[in-house]
Amino acid sequence: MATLDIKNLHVYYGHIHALKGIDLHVEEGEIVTLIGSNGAGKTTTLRAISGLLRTPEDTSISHDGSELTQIRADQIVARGVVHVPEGRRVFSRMSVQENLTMGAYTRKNQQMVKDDLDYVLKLFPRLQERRAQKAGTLSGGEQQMLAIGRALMSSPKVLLLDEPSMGLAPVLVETIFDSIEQLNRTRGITILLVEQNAQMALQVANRAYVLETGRITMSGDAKAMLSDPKVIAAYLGL
Amino acid sequence: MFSNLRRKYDFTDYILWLIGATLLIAIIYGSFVTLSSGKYTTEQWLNFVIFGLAQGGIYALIALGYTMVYGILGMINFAHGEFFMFGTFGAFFVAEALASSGFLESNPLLSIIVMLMAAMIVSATVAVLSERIAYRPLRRAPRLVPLITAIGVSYFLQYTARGFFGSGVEAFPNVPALAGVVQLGPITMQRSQIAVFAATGILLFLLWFIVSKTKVGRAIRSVAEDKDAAALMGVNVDRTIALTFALGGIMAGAAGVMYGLVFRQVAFYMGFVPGLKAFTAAVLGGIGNLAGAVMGGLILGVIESVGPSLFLEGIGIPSPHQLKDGIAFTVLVLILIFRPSGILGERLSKRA
Repeated sequence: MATLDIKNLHVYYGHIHALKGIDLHVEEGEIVTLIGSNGAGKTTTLRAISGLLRTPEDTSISHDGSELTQIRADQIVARGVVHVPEGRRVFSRMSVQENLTMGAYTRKNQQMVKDDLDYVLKLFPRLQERRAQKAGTLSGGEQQMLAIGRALMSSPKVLLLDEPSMGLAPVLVETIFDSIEQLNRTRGITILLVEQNAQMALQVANRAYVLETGRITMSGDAKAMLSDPKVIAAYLGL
Repeated sequence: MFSNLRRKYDFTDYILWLIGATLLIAIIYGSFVTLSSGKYTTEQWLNFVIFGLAQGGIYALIALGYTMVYGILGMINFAHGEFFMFGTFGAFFVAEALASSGFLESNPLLSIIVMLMAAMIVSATVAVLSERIAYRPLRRAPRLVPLITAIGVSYFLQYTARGFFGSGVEAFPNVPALAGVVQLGPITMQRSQIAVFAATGILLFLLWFIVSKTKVGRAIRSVAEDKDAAALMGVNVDRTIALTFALGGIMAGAAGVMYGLVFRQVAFYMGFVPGLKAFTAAVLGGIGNLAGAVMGGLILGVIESVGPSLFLEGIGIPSPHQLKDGIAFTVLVLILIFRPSGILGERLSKRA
């Protein structure tokens, strides 16, 4: 059984039919990437999974067998499906430390929270240096580290990452993708990664889906896609 | 060259600056005349300031509710003055019962605490119900819609109170322990004012502590900053917004008790003017900013109490104290013209 199983996902924005029946699944321990051009519906897909968008009744999104479409976003986090939104969305008026504490909002076991905090600060030493600083004063890369670190504080089983490379210098993109791989390998976190940077995404992922105007048009092994002429022409720009 | 100038500042700007300059000159001239006439002693001025601070403390408590709701929903809750009014009625009925049983006389401190509790519970309940019934269904509506609804809620609550409690003005029971004055050096303070200062100080500290140091406070601040991101942290956004209304209601209820103790009257329309004044205070301090609301409340209270004698009398206006409401709303208009973000408020461009 897939840890995240999406069947027949539709999303409407008023009269616009943004997602037209998507099926995708993510197995435990996998990195799966969803690539596609602007406006294809990648962000919409993640927002529907994490409960920020409503879906019609015949849509099913299940995590480890339990249905997520019927519960609120804040309850979905508590189930271990954690979303790092597009544009990072850190709380800019709070300190770095407070942002990380917000990540652990639903958790009860303070010892485990403390262990996770130590882990996050070791993974991103820059955050350790800037713990007392307001998050709004961080650079883009540091904010992305904070957004991922904050999500790790929620003790995720499945991490939904939306465009972690957006607006970052290439060297920082490398750092961020390295830490994503590390989270997957050493902590066993399942990852669903949405990216415009298809090159990077396909290199770290096990499997990939291609989304075009609300429909999945292609799916399969990520490494195979790297050499697929259609993918190369449309998304790799080589 | 002149056409450039004309494009930067248009005709209305000049008029506005002219009005501002005229008022400033009138204030300086009036103050100068009054002070040089020596009509009031230093002690009298101090008493004006203390009265203003006590009044301002009440404004500050109400203003916090405006500013917190604005901070979290971006909406001006014009029904907030009515939450204050309901709290005063809650305290009034409890005080009547306590007074007739003699408990108020034998145990004043405990009585006041019971009155505060009653007022806070009533105001918070009215606030939470208003949010749940009137505002929550409109959360995704255009900004004008909740604003107009708030005015509707305000009238609904006023006339509900009128229906239940009648249209007359009732006398708030006298607390004998708070009658009389205390002499602190050159300053004469009424005991009721001391009670207002103490209670306001404690409440402000508690609110500051809750908002800045606790988990609940972090949840409120996160929702105020970014509702989606807060939900993704596991914060129940609806519950947090309701809680913010409850906290605002609690502060308004406390303000209601103090108003009752100082001004000794209750009426169904009593929420309207203090509500507008507190709104003015919140705008003066910078709406959305908690420290600003407190500062705005105190400044407004002092301006209102010192102003009439200081500059209105000087420019020869008869019975100037009847114009104190005029001063408050002139302040509101001037801030909106010259510094819409208030004293501590963020520049609006920062948000965009």
